[in-house]
Amino acid sequence: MASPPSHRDAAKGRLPTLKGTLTHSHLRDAFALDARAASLYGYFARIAEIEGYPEVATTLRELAEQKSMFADGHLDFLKKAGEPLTGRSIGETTRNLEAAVLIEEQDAVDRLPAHARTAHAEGFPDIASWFESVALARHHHLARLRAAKEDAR
Amino acid sequence: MTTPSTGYSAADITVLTGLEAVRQRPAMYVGSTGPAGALHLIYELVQNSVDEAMAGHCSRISVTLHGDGRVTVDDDGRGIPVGPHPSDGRPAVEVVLTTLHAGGKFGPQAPGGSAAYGIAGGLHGVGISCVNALSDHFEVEVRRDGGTWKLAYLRGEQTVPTRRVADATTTGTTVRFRPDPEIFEGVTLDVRTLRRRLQEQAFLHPGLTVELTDARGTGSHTETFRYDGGVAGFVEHLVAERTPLHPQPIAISGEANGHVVDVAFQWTTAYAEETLAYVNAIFTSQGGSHVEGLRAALTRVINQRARTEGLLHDDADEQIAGYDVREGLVAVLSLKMREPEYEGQTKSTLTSHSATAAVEQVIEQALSTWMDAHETAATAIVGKALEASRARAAARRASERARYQSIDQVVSKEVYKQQFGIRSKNWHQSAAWITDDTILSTQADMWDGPDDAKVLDVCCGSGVVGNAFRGKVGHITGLDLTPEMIAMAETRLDIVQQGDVYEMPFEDDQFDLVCNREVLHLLPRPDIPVRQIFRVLKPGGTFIVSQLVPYGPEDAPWFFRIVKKKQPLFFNNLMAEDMVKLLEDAGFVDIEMQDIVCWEDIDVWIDTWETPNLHRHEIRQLYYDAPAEVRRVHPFEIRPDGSILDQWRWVVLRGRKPSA
Repeated sequence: MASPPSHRDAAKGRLPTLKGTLTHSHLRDAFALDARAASLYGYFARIAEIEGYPEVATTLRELAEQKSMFADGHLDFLKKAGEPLTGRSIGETTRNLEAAVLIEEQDAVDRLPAHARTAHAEGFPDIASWFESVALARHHHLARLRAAKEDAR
Repeated sequence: MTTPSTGYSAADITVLTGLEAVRQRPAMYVGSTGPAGALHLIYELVQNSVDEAMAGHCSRISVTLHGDGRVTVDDDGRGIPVGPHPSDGRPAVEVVLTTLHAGGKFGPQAPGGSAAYGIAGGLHGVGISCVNALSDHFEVEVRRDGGTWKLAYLRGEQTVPTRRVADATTTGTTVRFRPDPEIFEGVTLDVRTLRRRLQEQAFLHPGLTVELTDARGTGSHTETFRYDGGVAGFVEHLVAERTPLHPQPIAISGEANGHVVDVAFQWTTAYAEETLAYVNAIFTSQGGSHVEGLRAALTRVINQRARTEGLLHDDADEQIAGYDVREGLVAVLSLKMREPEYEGQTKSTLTSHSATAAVEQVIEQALSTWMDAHETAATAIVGKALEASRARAAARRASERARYQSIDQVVSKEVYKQQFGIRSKNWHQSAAWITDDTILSTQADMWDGPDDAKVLDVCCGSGVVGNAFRGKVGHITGLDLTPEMIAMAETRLDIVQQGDVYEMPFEDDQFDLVCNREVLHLLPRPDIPVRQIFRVLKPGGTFIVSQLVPYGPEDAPWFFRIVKKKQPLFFNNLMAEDMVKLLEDAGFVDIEMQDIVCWEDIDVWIDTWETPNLHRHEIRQLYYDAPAEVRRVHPFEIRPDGSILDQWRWVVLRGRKPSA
């Protein structure tokens, strides 16, 4: 990580650059936490609904909705410095799609098949099959994103 | 329901807004311009009569469908007021018929207030004026105060002014109308849906007679619904198709903080729960705070009883979860309360906080007392809940056990034996695919060998797969793990042996044909049985196998979650391509594959021992919330009552063992 130059830059009357600062890393963490919590609370809400706690479900859904918005807020700042998964700068659709293609490639081609192999080796055939199913869908997503990238050119 | 007797006169009609826009945007007011919207017009009128019944002034409602598309709704209520309305001087009935949000139910409802209706349902709060606006013929006859008045409209415009036409000795309102064909184009009224709705109202209002006459065809047909048994009778009606766990429904009535609760419930030997809940006679399809109260009371009482009977393991702090308590429950809950609050316009979920505590309070004490007085039934109910709770834990352990043992490729036969042994009860009724003709005949049609062939049906279940080859082959042997299945298969196959697929109890090169269906994805190592099948086939022999598979990459993860939640022993989400590869890897050649579809009733399929209640709800939710990518490739239908039909994709493969 580069040395935090902020106060010196500020002294020179320039806005400091975000990339490489501690704040940059905190934004990435905050994005990961809020995006995860949004998904988690949505999951909890569905269970609360089934178990017969509609009020609890509403609370959880409202929190999830807020957290999604927080995650968007973190991305607003991260745009230039790079989105959290690939570190590429994002903003306009063409750039966003480039980042998205990269994410899908990493997941579908490398990460998920490796996870499936590990699951098999550790004696979890059903979890391996789950990773394989997701990888398959991610390959499909990759194809769709590549096509979208062509369209957006 | 009785309320302090109050007058219902022209002064009780409140004018809120005009009737514009109903014809421009009919769907906004009655839901749709299709069959459901047209029925909604009838419900609006019926609900008005029901509100009269709830206020204690109406004992009979009749609905008639006429051949010319018209509908008559008639009641013996007080009759819509005809006197001059205080604010604009017109006859009140005209105000009611032409003003949106006008009616006797918008007046003050404060305690001691002079409202004509204490408690009223009302559908979307738009009322009879909406029906008038959407009808190309609308004729009203009011009988009250010793006279009969008539008036008529055409698409909301008055064609006949209010006139007294005769004397009357009775009271009531008769509306004859026709849903405007310009709006409800080509719509036919579905008498079955209407019938269910009317019957439901008769159940909810003991003593009320509801008649339905269908005079559209040749000869008119009238059905009369009157149930003095109320909600308990409703439960008996719902349970009629199932096996009850105890002889009588438990019926509880009571009042708490101004909430009048009528509830009846009965447990059945099935797995699925069915709870119908109503607020002021309006069906709340998504339940809400009143259902929450019912659930809380049941969970608490049953846990208390299990604890005092010493049935729960205290050291493990065992508790029976709510969804296990409700396994097999059939319940009807009718709540009457003032000013209920709902989520959204369609009144599908009640959100009034006060309802939870009131319902819980009424049920809890009464249920405890009932259980004390009905020892045998109470034992059966608590026993079933406990069994559900422990079965769920066992199902979870079963899949874990199979998983850990798969590390050394050893699978506990006991796990499968236990599960399929239990499932063998009602095997053929447990899902549509089991006896689906398309799958069975496709498999049989792929057989092109001699008619004296020696056949092996692997994991034969009840033997229907092997049996489908009858007449085209010779001797058929079955192989299965559980004594229960073997007993069933013996009625169809020539001989059935007990054994497992990982190590088949047969010599090499024995059979001309091996068939199998819907087993491979339940095994941690599907390659082992395929190799075993290859081994027991004669050189040149044929393997025919069918398998349920996802449509493609789009629905594969979604499909995985559904099947895994249904069946904890689901280990491999095999795709069509994986099936081909499994056969190729075992040495099969000339592989051919056929694609077929089969509609499966998901609610029946998931109503099994191995699927916990929570998972059943989650599975339904997965269908309701299916992502667009899934919907594009995987056809399924959600029926108006929320039940699900899925068009499953099956592949049938044929491979040959190379000749020596």
